[in-house]
Amino acid sequence: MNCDVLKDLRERLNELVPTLEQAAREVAALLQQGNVGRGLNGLHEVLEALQYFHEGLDLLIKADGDALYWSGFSGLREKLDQIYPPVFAALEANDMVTLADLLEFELADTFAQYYSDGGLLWQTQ
Amino acid sequence: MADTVIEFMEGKRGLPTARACHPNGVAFLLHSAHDPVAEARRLVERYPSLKEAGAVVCFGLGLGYHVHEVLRVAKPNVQVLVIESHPQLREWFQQNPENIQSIPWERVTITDREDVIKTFVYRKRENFRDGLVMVEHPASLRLNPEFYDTISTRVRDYISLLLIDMGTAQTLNYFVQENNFANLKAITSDPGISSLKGAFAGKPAVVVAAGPSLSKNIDLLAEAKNKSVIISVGTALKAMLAKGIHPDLVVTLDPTELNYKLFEGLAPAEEFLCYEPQTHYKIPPIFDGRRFVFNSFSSCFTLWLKALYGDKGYIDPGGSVAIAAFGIACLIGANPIVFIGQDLAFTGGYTHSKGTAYENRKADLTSSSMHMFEVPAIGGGKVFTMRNFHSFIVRFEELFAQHKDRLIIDATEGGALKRGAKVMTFREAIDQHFNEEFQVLKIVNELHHKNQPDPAVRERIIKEFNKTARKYKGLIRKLEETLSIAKKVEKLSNLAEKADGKKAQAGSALARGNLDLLKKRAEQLNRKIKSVNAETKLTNLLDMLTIETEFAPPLPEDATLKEQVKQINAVYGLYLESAKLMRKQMENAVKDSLSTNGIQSAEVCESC
Repeated sequence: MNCDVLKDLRERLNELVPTLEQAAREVAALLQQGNVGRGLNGLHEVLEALQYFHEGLDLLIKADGDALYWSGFSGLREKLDQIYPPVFAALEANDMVTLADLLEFELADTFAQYYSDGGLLWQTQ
Repeated sequence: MADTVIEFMEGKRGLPTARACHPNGVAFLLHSAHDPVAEARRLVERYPSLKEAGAVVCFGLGLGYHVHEVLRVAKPNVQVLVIESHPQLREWFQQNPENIQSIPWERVTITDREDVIKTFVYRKRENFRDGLVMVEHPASLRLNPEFYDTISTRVRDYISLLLIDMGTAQTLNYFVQENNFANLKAITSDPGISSLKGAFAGKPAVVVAAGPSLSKNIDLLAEAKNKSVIISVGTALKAMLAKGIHPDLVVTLDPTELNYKLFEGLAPAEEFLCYEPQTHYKIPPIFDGRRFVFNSFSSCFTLWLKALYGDKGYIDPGGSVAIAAFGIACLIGANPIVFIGQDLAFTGGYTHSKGTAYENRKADLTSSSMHMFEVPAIGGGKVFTMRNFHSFIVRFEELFAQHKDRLIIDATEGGALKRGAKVMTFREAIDQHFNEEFQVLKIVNELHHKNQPDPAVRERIIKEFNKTARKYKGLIRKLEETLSIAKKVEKLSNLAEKADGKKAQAGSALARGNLDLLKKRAEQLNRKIKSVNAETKLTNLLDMLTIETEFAPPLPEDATLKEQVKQINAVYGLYLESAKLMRKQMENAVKDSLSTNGIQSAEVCESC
């Protein structure tokens, strides 16, 4: 794959991380305030962005899997994969408190953690 | 979700949280397992007006994190009502040692009971003046959505009932007091309704109200005569007499001239009047010698009067004469109690039945008024009602729930559906339950005769009125002095303001002298006010006439002297007028209503 395209993709994903973190926190706050309708709409958007994020990561893996592995991405991927099942379980049980907890203290904090660790994934080349 | 079990557990940071577990396997958290305090803060941020509110109703308690937050954010005098349906949560919160210490319990009420909610609304009404905020704890609502749905409607109903009562009180209190005095002669010579207690145990009674559907089955009342106790509200009497049907008891309690118009020109021959002392004073004489008194309304003034003439029996008025009629049906022991004409809705667009004084009155159902709305109807579908009718429906439903030992039949054949009443036609009710004949008026007459009041009561009241009227003379003098000093303070305060405006004169001897005098007068005013306020019994007795002071907005803490004097003038001016009126009414009562000779009235005049 063209190096410029990969670079561009990395930059886009790089930008998406704080946005996803912020959005997850906002959705959590909406759910905690009882704004379930707006909260679930927001969650839908977060999930769509996450889908895009994962597709981007898949492309990067195909193009430069070793570098990503080395960068610690696999840890992030693993962590995110652990969060999704309880998120969907909470959604199914209509448990907005747990859902808000997962968004704020699992999803948002996971992104914040990786970002504050220096964005290992994003610096590699 | 009655079987839901609450599991209490430690959260990830050591704070307690809870999970609701339903027997079907569904479970959900009531609070964040990570940071329930921050979660509660976010919830409460949604209600910015909390900072100004005088009263807060929280729907759902959970573990009370949001209640703590409400108390932290709101004013220090806020009153908080927490409605929680789950006993485990109420228990946990009230027994938690941390809450026992940190919650200001005199400001927090936790309940799931409608009567406690109603009491809260009425007792804390002064707090409602500063605004009410309703806070919903979403996870708690999920525990019992139907309960919270019903209870939030109830809270709104109680508040509108309070507003109706307050509005009614402000408009009618003058007449209420006047009628209480004017009716004293009747009250002291009539037996109380308690004379009829249990007199018709197990016998059917019909409560006849004047709703539009009464025209459908009024003719059947003739069949109910002497097979049931027929209790009519005042408004339905005209329609009944026009059909040649005589009720056994007629109930009335409205203090206005309009109520008298319903009776004017009628010639009741055998029926007994059951009246509240506030009833328009021209009505009791129409039923001379055939009356029972009952008490429904209480104020310091009416309680004082009641203590003088003795207990006559309490009947819950619920804001409507039909509710009072139902109370009387319960008191006499009737069972079943059958309602007719109790639409509490605009059946066919009409407000009242044919044959009543309001027979042609139609409701404007096209109106977009917020006071008009639809409720489930008898026979299916919806029917239009209005806010105060709806508050009566609510009260009836409460009362029906309290009287589960009676069969309550709604044979209105139209109007609003009421929970707790069995719906059937009047024909069916008569066929099924009105099987035995009994001489209703004979029994009522005997009890009336047997329970005549002690004639000494009247003498006792005359003495007390004379004594109290003399005391009011002293209070009136004090109030006049208070207002006179307040006027002087106002004048001096104006002068001081002017002097302050002219800088050159500000430090002059004249200005200093003015300020000294102002200070002296203000101190004098304070002393006088204290002396008036010490006359608690006399000022409390004026509560019916001074109700406005209860709803007046409080002065801000940093109110200027001028604002304070303005308030003093308004409040004590009203007390002065009320004290003068009270004294005059007492004297007139002795002269016109109570006195059997001229001696007592002369004694009052002596004390003028």
